[in-house]
Amino acid sequence: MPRYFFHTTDASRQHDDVGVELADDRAARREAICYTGSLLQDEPDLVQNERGLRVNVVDGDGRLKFAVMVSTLDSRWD
Amino acid sequence: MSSSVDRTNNGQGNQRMTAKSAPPGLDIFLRKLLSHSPLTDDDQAAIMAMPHSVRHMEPNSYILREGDRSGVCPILCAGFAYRQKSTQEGGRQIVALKIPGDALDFQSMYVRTVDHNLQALTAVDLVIVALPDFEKMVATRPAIARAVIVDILIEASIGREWLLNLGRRNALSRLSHLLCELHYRLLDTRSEGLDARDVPMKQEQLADLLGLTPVHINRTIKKLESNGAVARHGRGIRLGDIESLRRLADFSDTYLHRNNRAG
Repeated sequence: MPRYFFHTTDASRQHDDVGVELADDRAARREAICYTGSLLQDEPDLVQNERGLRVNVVDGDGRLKFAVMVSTLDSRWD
Repeated sequence: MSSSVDRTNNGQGNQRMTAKSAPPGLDIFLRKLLSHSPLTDDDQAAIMAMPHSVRHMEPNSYILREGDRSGVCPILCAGFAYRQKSTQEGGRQIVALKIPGDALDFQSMYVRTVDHNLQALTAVDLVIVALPDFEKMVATRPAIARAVIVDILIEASIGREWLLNLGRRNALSRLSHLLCELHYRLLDTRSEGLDARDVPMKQEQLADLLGLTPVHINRTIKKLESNGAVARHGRGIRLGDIESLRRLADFSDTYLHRNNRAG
């Protein structure tokens, strides 16, 4: 099974150097969404910064496969 | 599960708990019972003389399966095991963690059907006692019967604490709490604590136990590592600083009933 790495960026960056083996891209995308959800449940403040919260999913060759992004918008953006 | 028995011991030549000889044996089980319940020398000798067989199993082997009707009570002498239940879609939850000295199936003495799966986490050595022998023991020796009930009650108390942990603590506290618990439980049976041995679980197993994704477990371990609460040890992790781990976990050991013998 291929290994995927999940790099997290909020106010600070966290580089994942362990990774997780998952069946395919579809499973990795699902894992990224669930991971982001559980991060938010634990620490809602992760989104309370200019860039919001971003989880980059990278394959074993270091290529970005996709990203999950969560941010809040103030009313003036309407 | 009693099909491949490596060695049989009919109780001859077994000494009391002072004897350190012939591991794996019943001595660590006796230590576990004595950690929460007083037993006379005579009762202790009766436990050490129980007929039993010994069995080794590899990691992930099934010791009991949901739906089984068990005729034996396996006792974990070395290694770690866990109880797990799964949803139809394959989501797995580890619902209990068993350490050396733990009896794995007292409940089959009282209820007919095994209601969860029991698997080896690491390689394990088991002592297998036939249930009728155990039933005879608790029927004739009230202090042993009481110790068995106390053991079952403490496991239930640990289960309640796990419910709280999974339902209401964040990832950092949740993992810290598990590590504190495991450390103290090991010390109470005079085994090496997590400061002297690696946490026996991989990230996937921690994820299944704590209801988090493996990636979230990675992140949480890193956080604990960065503030010194846990420490890398080769490929494993160990306890770095129990006091900071206790603080992060908001850990109180009341539910482990560690002072039960004091009355």
